[in-house]
Amino acid sequence: MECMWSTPRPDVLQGHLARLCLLLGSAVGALAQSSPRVPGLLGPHPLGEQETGELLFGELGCANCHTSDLEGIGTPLTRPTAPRLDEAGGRVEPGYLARFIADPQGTQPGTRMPDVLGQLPPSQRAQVALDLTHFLVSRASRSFNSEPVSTDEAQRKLGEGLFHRVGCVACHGSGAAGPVADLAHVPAKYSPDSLSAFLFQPLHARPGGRMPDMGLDRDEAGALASYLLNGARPLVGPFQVDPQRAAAGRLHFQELGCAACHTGLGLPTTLLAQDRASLRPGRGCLVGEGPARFGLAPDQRAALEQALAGQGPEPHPSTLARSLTAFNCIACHKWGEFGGAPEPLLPHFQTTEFELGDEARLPPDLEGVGAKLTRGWLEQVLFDGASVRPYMLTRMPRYGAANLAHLPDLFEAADPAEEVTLREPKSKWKDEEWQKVARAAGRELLGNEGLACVLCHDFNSHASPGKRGLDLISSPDRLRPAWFMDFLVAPEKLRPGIVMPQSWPDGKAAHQGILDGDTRAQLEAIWLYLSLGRSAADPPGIRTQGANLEVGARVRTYRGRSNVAGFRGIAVGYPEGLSYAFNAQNGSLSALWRGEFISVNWNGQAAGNFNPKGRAVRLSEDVTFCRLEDASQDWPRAPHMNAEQPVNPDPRYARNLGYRFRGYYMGELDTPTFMYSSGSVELEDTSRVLQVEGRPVLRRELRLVAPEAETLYMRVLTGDIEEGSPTSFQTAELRVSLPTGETLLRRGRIDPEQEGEDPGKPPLELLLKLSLDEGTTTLTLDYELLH
Amino acid sequence: MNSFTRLSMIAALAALPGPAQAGSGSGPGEDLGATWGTASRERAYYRMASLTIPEDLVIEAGAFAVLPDGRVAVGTRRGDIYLMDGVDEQKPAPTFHLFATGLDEIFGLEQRAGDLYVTQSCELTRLRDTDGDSRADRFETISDEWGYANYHEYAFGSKFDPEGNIHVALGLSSSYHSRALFRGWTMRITPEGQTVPIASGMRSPGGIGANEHGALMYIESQGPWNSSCSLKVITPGAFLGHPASFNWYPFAPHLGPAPEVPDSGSRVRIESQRLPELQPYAVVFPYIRMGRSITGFCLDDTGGRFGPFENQMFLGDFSLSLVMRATTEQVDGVWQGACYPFREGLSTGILNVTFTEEGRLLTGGTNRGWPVRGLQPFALERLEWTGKMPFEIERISITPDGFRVRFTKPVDPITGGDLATYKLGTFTHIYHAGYGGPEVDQTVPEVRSVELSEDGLEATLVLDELRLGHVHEFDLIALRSRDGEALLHRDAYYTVNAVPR
Repeated sequence: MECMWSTPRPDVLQGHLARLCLLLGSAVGALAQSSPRVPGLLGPHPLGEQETGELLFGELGCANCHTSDLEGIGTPLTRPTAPRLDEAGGRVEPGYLARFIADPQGTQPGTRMPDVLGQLPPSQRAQVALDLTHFLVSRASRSFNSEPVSTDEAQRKLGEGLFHRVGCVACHGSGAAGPVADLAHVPAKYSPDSLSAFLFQPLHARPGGRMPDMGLDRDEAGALASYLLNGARPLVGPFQVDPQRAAAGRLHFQELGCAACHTGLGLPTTLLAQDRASLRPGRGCLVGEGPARFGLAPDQRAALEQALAGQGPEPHPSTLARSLTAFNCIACHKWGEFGGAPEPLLPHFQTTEFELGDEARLPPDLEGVGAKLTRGWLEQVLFDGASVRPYMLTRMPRYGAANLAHLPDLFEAADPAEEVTLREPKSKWKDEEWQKVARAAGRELLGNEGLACVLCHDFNSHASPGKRGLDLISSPDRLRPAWFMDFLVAPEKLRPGIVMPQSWPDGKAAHQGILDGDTRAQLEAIWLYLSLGRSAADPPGIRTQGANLEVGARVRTYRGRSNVAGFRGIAVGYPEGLSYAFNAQNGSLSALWRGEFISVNWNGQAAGNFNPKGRAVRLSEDVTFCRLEDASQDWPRAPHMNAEQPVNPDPRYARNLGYRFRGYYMGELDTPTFMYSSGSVELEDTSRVLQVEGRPVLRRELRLVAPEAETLYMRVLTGDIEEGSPTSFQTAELRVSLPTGETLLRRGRIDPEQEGEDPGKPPLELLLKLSLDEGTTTLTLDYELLH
Repeated sequence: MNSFTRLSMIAALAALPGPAQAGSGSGPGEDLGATWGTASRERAYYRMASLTIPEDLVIEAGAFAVLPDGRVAVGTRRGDIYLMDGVDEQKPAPTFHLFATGLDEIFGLEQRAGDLYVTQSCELTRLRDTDGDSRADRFETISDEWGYANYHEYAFGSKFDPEGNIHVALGLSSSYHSRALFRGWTMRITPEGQTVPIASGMRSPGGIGANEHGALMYIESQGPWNSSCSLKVITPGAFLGHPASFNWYPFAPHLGPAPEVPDSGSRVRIESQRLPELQPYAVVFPYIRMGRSITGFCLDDTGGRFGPFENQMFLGDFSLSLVMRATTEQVDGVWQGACYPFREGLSTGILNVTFTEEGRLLTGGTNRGWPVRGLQPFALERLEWTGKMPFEIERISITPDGFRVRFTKPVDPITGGDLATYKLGTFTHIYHAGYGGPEVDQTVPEVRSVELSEDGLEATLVLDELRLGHVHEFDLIALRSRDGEALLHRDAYYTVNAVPR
């Protein structure tokens, strides 16, 4: 690939030629001597020759050996970019390691690793490389795992999709399109495990951040590894470390100065050259004669020589251009006349919101970013992986906070932000009322009766009913007010091609009905309203929804307050489409319903309350078991609370009647058994669903354990009860079948506090008298909904 | 702007009404006030990493428990408990194993002998996996001896104390009412399962646990009878300031009759001298400057792995999405101490915090229900010391005639030795039934002398007067370290209840 460096600059021409050569390169690469590649330099880039040299000086790690007064060159980018080596012996196939050390460019064309064995006689190189390999393998805590590559085609497909979608192609190219940081060596180098671990957190092995973290989760990293290895990795046998060779390797490691660039082994950095005199045109590493032979192309060498010649002690001013090239930001982002994905790669930049146009799929321009973004947001994007465009499928990589620490300052210096005084002095609204007026107006403007912004933008994590443009609530956190207002007035000017309509064409408000159509006031109002952040009330037109809990193949149990089960309510849903509610405050089965399970409110302060999805048949929410003196004694009544009497007058009512809730346990298919007691009787209460003539029936089994014989009453049903048989009773909506026993159908007591009860005709109640022997008694009741 | 201009501005803000419900439709929303403005500098010392949460999960963390194997159990407002592994990895992308689901607003989580003890709104529950399938299958009610009948009635559970008790803090039914049994009380649940009401007078607790000396404390929210958020000490028989819960003394006969109702419009200092049961605030967190809605807290037990604040309390704030520090000391039998800014810029409303096995601070929460600065509906974020020493006020302690201020790095003798560097102000709050309240009775104490320790790490200040019942505010904007650095956070606030003799 010599040809790519053989033409004198200009840059742009060279970039195009480079790409052309790369296209040819696949045919001739094996024959050509390759040189180190910096992806940002392969396409059109903003650097002149001297700056290119400065960049190379940093990227090739020259300053790791040549320190002294040369530190200014290439700063602040002169961090060691070489991989950590503590785990290299487990990450990289040992045979590959040996080949790579012996011949870096021949094994991985384009690598920045210099040939450090070139200074040795050819007869020794392979041996020294092998010694070094033994040393590295001996230092790794895990040995290289040579498991075969998965042949799961779905995995591979998933990985292929990720490779093209998340942004790998920007540096690594796709087929014949775009610049290429070649990946042909990958199958020989990694195992599925080690590549997957590397892709999951590349900054761990390569803290320099030139291979950034693409935000892959473990599954994605595994799939991508499977795609990159492509089933092609040769199997290798286990590698046995020879301690003597490892010891020799350690010596070589130090003598050859490997630790100048590579960290992780706890060995001291070995500086090989201390002064400027050691770096002179036409000598040493520059011409492939020094201890570190990079295989520089002629124009790389020329650029480096230019940088050395022009280098004073002060850092060069154009560090922003150098940073954007070194980290290849310009592979995806436009920056002035440079950058942006090249045409052949554009189809790989995708979105889930096609209607939003290119805005939704192409990363935003970097020109003017310092004036656009707040410092805090810039830092969050660069350092924390923050993002506001969930629809954009290409991901903003993470390069490591330490590597980009200098960048916010550079952006701010390049594009100073304009100061804005909010609150125009000529405004007709009084100062003290302005914020209130403005925020109400801002809300109205965003709503569907105003400028209808929320019909194309999410708001406060609530989905827009139309296009799902980025969530507006984040604007004041992210954007500087001057940029925001300029943008609103003329979106097309700051973001050419944007689909956002102009609401203030020529600065004149399209909506004259709010704030008297005063443009400046409207802009400020929107800003002030959005500045409320998460506390901002939704504009009209945004809706929030509840969530449905669904029952799968297993029984589902959910606790929460409910109108059908009180505050200590528990809903139980069965796969057969029948559900019931249990009031744990008093131990009552309080409602049954068919159909879907429950909806749960997840909005607001104390949420989590549930509502049956089907029409619930209610049962009495009062104690179910009680001791009566005789059959004529009234059933007790739970205390009532209402607006006039909000405080519970008898807060220990159920407890004073002997009731205690003990909890529940899950049986087969997670079917819950409720545990509670009534006096000294311990109960277990389990319900299952049976199909009887095609209809679901809730079969409730009660297990009562009495320490001694006693009589207990169970109130089974209340309301307009009809007796079908001595063991079957029903209301209009529910039939209950009982075991044979002593039942009592009687008029209950009038409850003066219960509205709607006919004083002349109190409701019926069905009691079951349980004469328990000492020990265990089992009862079975069937509940069948009749509607 | 000097600190006293700042004070008066904040005092004006503090008089605003309390939190409005977000999205209520009654108005556009509520302003959260200014940030500390220190997030950019903080990140050099405490870096933040976001835990990747799988797309189909909603993790509104309300409580954490670190398990013996290093996994962290997280209990959520939605009633799920997940076990997370890998929270200490360089790039934390834990697996979330669902251990239990279907519970009701979890604000307390503790593990013991393989079981999880879960404080949910309705009860304290012991969760057990009896069949070894890593799912809870037994949910035993340990205590439900409190009323739960109004939507705002949360329950916050502590960890075990050395005697094996768990303490549950029960918020009022609403800001002014206790309508269900023991709302506004602290309940002690003993190892034998007995439930004992021990203290009345809470308003809206946000977290409960031991301070760095093992004393039981809880964090109270600004509102009626509380002009600011504060840490208060819970002792048996204590009255914690809000009298709405006096109606339940007949149900706690061992505590005798209810205390006298305090005079509204007074000061806590005055009322606590008259009413022996009334607990003064141990640490006041000036409203907005130091949180608006403080929640769960934990102790730095990392042995220095989290930096120079070993054994201090770390507290989350819901509204402002930040973490603060506090230190306490007992003087003359009374607890008091100071609070300090620590780290802002978290992504959601913080409901709880815990230290991981390897000494990182895990935070989590949601921004549902109230105004919150962080924009994420929910998040789990981890703070990690970078190893770089921040220049901070490490702690402030009281002396018989002033304060001892300890720093994390040696201070420069010129600014550190200059009396003018130590800008102090004091204030207290009105103690009244109104919702929140302004800072009042401001004074400016005179710093008579300052003495720097030889190592430069400590400044001993002598003041003309220490004001009992007052927050003593420090603004050390002019101070420099020996290497010329300004303090990462210039402010600290010490609440004086007693002066050592």
